[in-house]
Amino acid sequence: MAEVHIIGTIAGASSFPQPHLSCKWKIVAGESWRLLEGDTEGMTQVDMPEDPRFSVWSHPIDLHYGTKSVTGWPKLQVQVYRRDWRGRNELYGYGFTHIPTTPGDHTLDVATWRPVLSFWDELSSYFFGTVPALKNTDMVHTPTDRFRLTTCSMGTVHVELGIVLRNFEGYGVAM
Amino acid sequence: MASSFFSLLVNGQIEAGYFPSYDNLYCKFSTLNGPDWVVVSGVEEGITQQSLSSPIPSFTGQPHTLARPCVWNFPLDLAFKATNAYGWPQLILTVYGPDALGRDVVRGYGSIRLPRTPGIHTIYTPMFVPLASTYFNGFLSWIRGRLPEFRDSRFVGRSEGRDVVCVRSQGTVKVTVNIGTKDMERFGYVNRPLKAK
Repeated sequence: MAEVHIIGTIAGASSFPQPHLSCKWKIVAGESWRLLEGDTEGMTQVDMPEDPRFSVWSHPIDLHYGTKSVTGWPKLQVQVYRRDWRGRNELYGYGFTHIPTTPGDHTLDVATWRPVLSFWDELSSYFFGTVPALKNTDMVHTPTDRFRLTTCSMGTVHVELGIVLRNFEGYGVAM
Repeated sequence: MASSFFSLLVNGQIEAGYFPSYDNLYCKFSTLNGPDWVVVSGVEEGITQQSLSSPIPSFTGQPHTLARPCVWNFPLDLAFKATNAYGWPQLILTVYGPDALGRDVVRGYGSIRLPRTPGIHTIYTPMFVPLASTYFNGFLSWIRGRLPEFRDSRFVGRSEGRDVVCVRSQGTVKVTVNIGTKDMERFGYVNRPLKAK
């Protein structure tokens, strides 16, 4: 069995319209992938930054996968939340990125988006403090059903990942 | 030929701290690594000198208007031995400085995952402090001059329990490290892109 180590940090976020952000993250992989060690999901701290342009999460990621197939290569899915003045966390962005297949250190920028409603629904959501969110977050990293959505662009999530592969060459796989 | 372990060599320095609102800072560091890692050489914990960003004292505790970094130039020499890349070592940094009454308070926590690839790396790591859970507690801690702290600074290098803390990010620490690896290929690992043959 070939092994993949995903070691790194969810550094933070920038270019979101407002600060006070946190991030719920999840790593999803295909069926032939087996998690040997580490956490596949978590939630970061909320940052109320001195400099509102960048929110710091410094959240560690350390995963060890074993796999029999290179298909279903893992993806990182992020959900950004914003804490409002009442202390409630509202959805502020979805995004995903593939985990790089090349070994080495990588800096990834995940572009994010969120669903929007029609003008009147958006107006009522402003007054009632409800925010549209996806019922099934699998839509964030799967290509089906996206065409039904209307979305707007949010900020960027910054991720630093190091990829270490083991025993891939024995199977004639080049990455 | 397979090897029974691989090694990671870390030579570097904690170069400086950039904190626009604070001065006269020092930095503590420790390492955090997984169960299959051991430190074979070097000190796993250290504490730097207290550094002023300018030789002229600022009596208000606030830095000078022309903000300069607090230089520590503190050496890091570590060597690790491991049998599993899981738990790749991290540096945990904590920066302290005096408040207006001269009491040492924490000015930032930060974590650095050591690079996985050999070479020289310059890392700017953002620092943050925890905020009190309620405004009332925040007011009390301000009165008492004891800002909220993490009981164990290694908390910032772990994933568990992070969702319940609220922090304020302030300042940056610059660390430069030279990374060398030994026997990773013999251990079956590939940690850098293969060159075209």
